[in-house]
Amino acid sequence: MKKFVSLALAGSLLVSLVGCGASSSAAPASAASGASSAASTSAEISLGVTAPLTGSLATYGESVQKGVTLAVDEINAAGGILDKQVKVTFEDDKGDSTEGANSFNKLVSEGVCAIIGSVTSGVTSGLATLTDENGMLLITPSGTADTLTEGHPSVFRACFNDSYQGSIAAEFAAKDLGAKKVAILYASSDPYSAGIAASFEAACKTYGLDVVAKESSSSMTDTDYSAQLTNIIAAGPDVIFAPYYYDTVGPYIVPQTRAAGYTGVLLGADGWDGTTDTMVDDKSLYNNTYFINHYAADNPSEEVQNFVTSFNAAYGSTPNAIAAMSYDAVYMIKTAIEKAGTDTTADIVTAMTGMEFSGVTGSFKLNDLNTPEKPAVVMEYVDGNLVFKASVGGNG
Amino acid sequence: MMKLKKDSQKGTLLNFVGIAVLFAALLVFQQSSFASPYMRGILIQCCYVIIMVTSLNIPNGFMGQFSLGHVGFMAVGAYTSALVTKALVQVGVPYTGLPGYAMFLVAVLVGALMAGLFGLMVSVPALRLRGDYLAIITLGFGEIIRVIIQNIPIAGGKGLAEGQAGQPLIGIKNFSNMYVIVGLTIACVALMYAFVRSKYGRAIKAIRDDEIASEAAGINTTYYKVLAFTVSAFFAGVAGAIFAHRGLGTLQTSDFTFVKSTEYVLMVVLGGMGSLTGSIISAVVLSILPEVLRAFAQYRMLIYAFLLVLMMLFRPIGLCGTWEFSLLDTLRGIRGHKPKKPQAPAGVKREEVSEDV
Amino acid sequence: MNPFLLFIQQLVNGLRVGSIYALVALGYTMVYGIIRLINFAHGDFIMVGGYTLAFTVPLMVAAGMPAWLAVVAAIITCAITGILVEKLAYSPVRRRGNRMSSLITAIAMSLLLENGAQVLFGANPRGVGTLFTLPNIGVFSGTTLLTIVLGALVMIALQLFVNKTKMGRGMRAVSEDKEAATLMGVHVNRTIAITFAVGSALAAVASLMYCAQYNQVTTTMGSMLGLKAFVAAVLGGIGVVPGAMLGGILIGVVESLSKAYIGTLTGGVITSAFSDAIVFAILIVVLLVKPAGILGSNAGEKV
Repeated sequence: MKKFVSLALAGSLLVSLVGCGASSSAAPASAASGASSAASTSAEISLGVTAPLTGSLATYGESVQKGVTLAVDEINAAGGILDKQVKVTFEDDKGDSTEGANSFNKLVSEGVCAIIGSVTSGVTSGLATLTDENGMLLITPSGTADTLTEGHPSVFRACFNDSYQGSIAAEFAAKDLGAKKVAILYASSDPYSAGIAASFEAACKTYGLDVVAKESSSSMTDTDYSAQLTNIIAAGPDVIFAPYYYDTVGPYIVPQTRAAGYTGVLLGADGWDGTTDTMVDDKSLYNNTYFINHYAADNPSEEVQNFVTSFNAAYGSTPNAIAAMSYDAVYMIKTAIEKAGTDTTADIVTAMTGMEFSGVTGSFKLNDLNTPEKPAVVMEYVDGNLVFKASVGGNG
Repeated sequence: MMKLKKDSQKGTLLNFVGIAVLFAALLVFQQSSFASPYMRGILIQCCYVIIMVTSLNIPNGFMGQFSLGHVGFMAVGAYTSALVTKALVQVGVPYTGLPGYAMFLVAVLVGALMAGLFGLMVSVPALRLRGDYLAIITLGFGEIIRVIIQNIPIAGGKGLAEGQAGQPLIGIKNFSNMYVIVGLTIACVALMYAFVRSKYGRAIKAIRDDEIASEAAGINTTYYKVLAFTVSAFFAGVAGAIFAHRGLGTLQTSDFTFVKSTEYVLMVVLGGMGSLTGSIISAVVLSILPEVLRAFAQYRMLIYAFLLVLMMLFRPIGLCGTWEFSLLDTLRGIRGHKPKKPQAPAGVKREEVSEDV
Repeated sequence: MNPFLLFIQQLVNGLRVGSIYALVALGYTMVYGIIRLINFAHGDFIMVGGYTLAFTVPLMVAAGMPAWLAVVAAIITCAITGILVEKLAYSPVRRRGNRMSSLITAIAMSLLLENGAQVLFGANPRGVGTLFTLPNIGVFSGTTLLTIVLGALVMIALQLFVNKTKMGRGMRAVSEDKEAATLMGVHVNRTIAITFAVGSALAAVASLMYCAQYNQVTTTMGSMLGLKAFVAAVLGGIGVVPGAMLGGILIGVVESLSKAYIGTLTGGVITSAFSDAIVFAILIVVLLVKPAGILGSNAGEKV
């Protein structure tokens, strides 16, 4: 029995080895076909997407997948781009930079003309380096780290960046909320949280806000913030700025802040999008909380409402910001291809640089850093519902 | 005795031929249409995983002292070497061609030495403990190293003077190429092989088989344990340095979590505790497999965990046990000679129940 | 707020976290005391309990019963999981492998449960709903007080169980010497299985209080919690029931106070972000200085 099982184990490993061999021999064929499609002779336009479809960030990957699929289906139903149908390939990067690189390289060798991804700044910054070698067009729907597009001419994004977001939050706190004293709670180990906290703190000086307390947690997934919150509340801030993700904000940060006796304003960034799904039973705790976001689903504009309706028809839910930005990313590529008149990667990059675009997340022009310049929206939670509060910053 | 010596000379020669063949194959690969960035990326991934897993095999397999925090040393190697190359670029050292490779090797060496130093610092107190206590204390050290790295400004953002804590380290220039990395990997594996076959290696295996008896036989167990741990940390540092220069230009502390550590441990155990050959096989297979089975990504860790339990149930010494591949024996086998009998697998020694802490 | 009140508030925060660690540590210590194995999967048993609660609480509420009664389902699920893990993996490996194999199996079981849950329930966190509506007493929240009281009750019950019952005597005998216990007529395998059942049931109780405190379950909720609780068990003296309680509370308080004051004390060099590292540093110091823990007695190394 024992021998048999160990033989079986060895056998299964062997089989997988052979499997590898088989697949590697299949790869060059697709690479060859890829080369031809990049020369814009193929009958379809192929796009790649790398996103965390599994793993702890799978929710974000799902949103990307839904947003992109909806956009591509719409485009194909309307006759495609330059009379070519659009084909999209999804690869899973699990939110890991090495896996992300493998996904990216795989998509490149399959000959896609542009890649959408990835969701997080961490993975995207690795991919940005890879674009230097092959000039692949990379457009991240939601990577907000400032440095992502610096020195990488073919990397774009469909969202604003961290420093903009931080300064918008400070501006909103100072002007709209009339705050004087603010406190910051952030995760020092997380690039997103630490990045926004730093830019918020810098912007506080500009807007005359006094940072009375700054506390950090060791990770984004800590469950207990009471020690930090006690210190923060003792400093008596008018606003607590807490750039965390929705899975921490809903169950931990907001209830623990309220339990510690603080009834003032809590302010967050775009990571708060989705908190409605993670709230505790008592929704009144979330009153008086705001966050900066990329778009508002209750924006009455026809474009947004059409998008929300068709998204709801397809998936039975309201699209979140990442889905909206992924949707826009596809249309940004479409606009650029139509502007260039070809689907050769280099030409699309040229066409997209400095491009003007109007989508569900706003009308904007891409600036020198390939980043949209547009107003941000501030959302408010009222008894657990997401309500549009204000539009801040930008040129609009 | 003479015969043995002749054998080892023959073996060395043969191994050089083997390495030459490997490089020739690499050259052919590079020229062929296989050589997409995707394939090269996976090859480089295999290289640092091989070094990491073989290095982890020294304490975990050969010495039987379980470390769960080895990614900490990998992180030290990765960050140190990345900062070294960044500093070199800043002072204007050219990083293309031959000088680049030299610089890369310098960075790898500095990173590895730093990791070795950390290994020494950790092992002196940690190795006073054994078994699960050692496992948990190394895990603790690994986490501490990670937390420290993510809170020091020079190791984040653009690094050095422009650094920013909490950000991924970006803009790491790629000095190396595939040949350098493959060559380095072969060199590391050869060095580790020599190490485990040396008198040090024999002492370490003696400690695994019976620590108290080894002590009684006059082996300075503390010295050898610390030595093995430090050597292992050094090579984990090499793996880290290659990881840092794998072409992505970015490093983040989430690449060095406890979860990653368990993944490497898993590779050591599946391959064989005490077999470098096994480590290499499992490193390569388990690096390539997820790429082949992308559709099953969701189930990957589940399958690994399941395999691990099965392995513990039916073959606790891992796939290869303590068997090592030898070109000489293999060739003899092909020519009909009887190969030297493989060593009896030492890991299977049955300890009835295990009360000793 | 005056500094003294602030300090008291931070102590209370520490108790809040520590009471959960204490409950988890009790389960660790049970298992470790008998088979000398760090049950890496113990944290994941808590996750199993948590998900059982997340699924059964709505049913309880719909049936008009108090939500916390869902813990019965959680206890049953956890105990079954515990016995299955022991019977299918730990026990056979223990019988034919060495210590190392057992440790690896424990890690593998932890991976198996975590990733299995991820495949089954997805990565998204799941809300649990309100379990208790308790009034606050002074600076203490009702949930914290209940957790501490429950922890103390569990500790006393365990202590009585281990010291006064026949089964408890069997457990102690197995812990001392398996061979001798067998000779004395103790059914070793059954005793170990029961230990696992009790330890896992404790995990279910811990998951109840965890969910009451934090309202949400995730597939990885058990890993860090489990590690810290293990540190607590070692600090208190592993295998010693009151030690787990003491260690848990201490770790919670130290964690909270270090988060609150370390930044000011070290002039910002070490910040509250180091709190996890500090917990591990405590473990390292304890293991090196007094491996038997606060309440444990130092035993010489067995040959």
